[in-house]
Amino acid sequence: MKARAHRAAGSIVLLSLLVLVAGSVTSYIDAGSGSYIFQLLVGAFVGAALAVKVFWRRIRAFVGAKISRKG
Amino acid sequence: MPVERLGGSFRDPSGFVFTRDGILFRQVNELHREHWDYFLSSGLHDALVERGLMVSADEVGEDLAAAPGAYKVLRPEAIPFISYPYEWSFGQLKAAALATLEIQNLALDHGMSLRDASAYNIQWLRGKPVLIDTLSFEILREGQPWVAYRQFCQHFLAPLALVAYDDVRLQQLLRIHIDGIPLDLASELLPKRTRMKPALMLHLHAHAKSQQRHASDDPKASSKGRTFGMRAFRGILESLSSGIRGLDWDPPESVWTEYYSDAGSYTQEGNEHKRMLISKLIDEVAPNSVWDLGGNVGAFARIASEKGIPTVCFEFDPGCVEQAYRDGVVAAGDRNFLPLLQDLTNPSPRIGWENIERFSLADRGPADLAMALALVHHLAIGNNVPLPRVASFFADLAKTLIVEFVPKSDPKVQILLTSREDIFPDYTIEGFERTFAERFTIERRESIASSERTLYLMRRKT
Repeated sequence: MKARAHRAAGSIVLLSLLVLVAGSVTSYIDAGSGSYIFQLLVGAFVGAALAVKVFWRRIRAFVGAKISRKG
Repeated sequence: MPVERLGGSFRDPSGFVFTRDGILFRQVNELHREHWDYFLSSGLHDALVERGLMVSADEVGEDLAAAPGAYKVLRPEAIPFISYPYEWSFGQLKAAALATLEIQNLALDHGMSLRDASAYNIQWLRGKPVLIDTLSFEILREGQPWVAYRQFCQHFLAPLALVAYDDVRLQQLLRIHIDGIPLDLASELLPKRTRMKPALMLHLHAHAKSQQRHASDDPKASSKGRTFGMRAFRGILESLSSGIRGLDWDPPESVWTEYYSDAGSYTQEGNEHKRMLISKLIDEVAPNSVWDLGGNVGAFARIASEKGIPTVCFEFDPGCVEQAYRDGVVAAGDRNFLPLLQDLTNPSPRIGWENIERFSLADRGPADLAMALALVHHLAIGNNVPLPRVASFFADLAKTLIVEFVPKSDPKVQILLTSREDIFPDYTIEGFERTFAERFTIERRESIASSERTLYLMRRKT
């Protein structure tokens, strides 16, 4: 039982190491702590701004289509 | 078979670029297997190549690998001339920035993301900016911000904003800062009014502050459980894109004034004769590459590019390079024409790690043919370079040379001599021919009609 627990713990450590290694390999450049955190902070704001932009584009396209149909 | 790893290809453990017998290959390492396979199976590779946003690369046998650990070996399409962001005009850097964002949006559509956003990964092919690093993609990590955001802002947004709001010469900061212009420096140099521009306020000024504030913070701990959804990712890209589209820089009017003033050294007959002679001499040489040294807005370089020959037009005035790009590449769609910024009195040096990461100008030669039209007097009299050293400089850069000699009696040379003493007794046609004959065989000598100028075709002595 103890041995199995040890093996399981070993596997978890190994798996975590692999994940860490794989992570560091794919992102070979430094994202920069400040740049990483900054994106998390402003992400919601710029995402919402984009949603509003898309919404307005649709409204304008809809109104434009209506007007051209009438004309 | 001689195998040589390229000096600038060492940072990414996923693979590297090397030459074998002079042919360029890219090795994909086992480490990158999962991402490479997904890159192909997701359709992203084909989508990028179809849209002309990335160079195509054929898989060749793994036996051609240059080091252990290879998963695949690729043979990418050759780029006629490798150029760097500190050699591009404003418009070229802007086009490269927008291409990078388009590539990243396409990557997100396919469940992938750019792992880097280096301006050096973009090169010019058939008049378009293309991504050359086919290993730049990773499978999208759900909930995590863009790892290349900092690099994109440093390589593209900061220099573009500095040119648009400060001075075109500040683009040269890219030559000093090889990983792009530090954002705190850009933020300090930019005028206060740029804080009123949402994209610049956000991605430069506030971003720079955040870098200072969180420099040693653990991003995972500081994120306090916040995740970064697809809407946020697209929002960042859209905000960057609209910010960059809003940046502009126009060449000063003096560009055209000066061009016409130089063209005005000739009568119409003289100008047409010169063009005809250059065209004839290019045909005689039949080169595969042409460099026009001091090519102004590219009027003569385009004689070569319009014949289908990859032609680089080097010019030290950023306004002329921008005008050449707008007229030749954007408006006329000349696929063989590449205007670049180059001060021949201080050409691009080798820079970066061990001074071999980026090539010098001479490293990228020799060209089959160089043209030096109305240039020698600027170097010899305007810049005090002795004629033998002008000849050896040209001999380093090209195998054949079309060179124009402008005598002291020419009004353009007289202007150079108005404010200085004439200390150039050897600057005569005889002195010029005698000096150049030491490094070149003079094959043709043609007088340009209605002028005192002479055009030569020379072949470098081996």
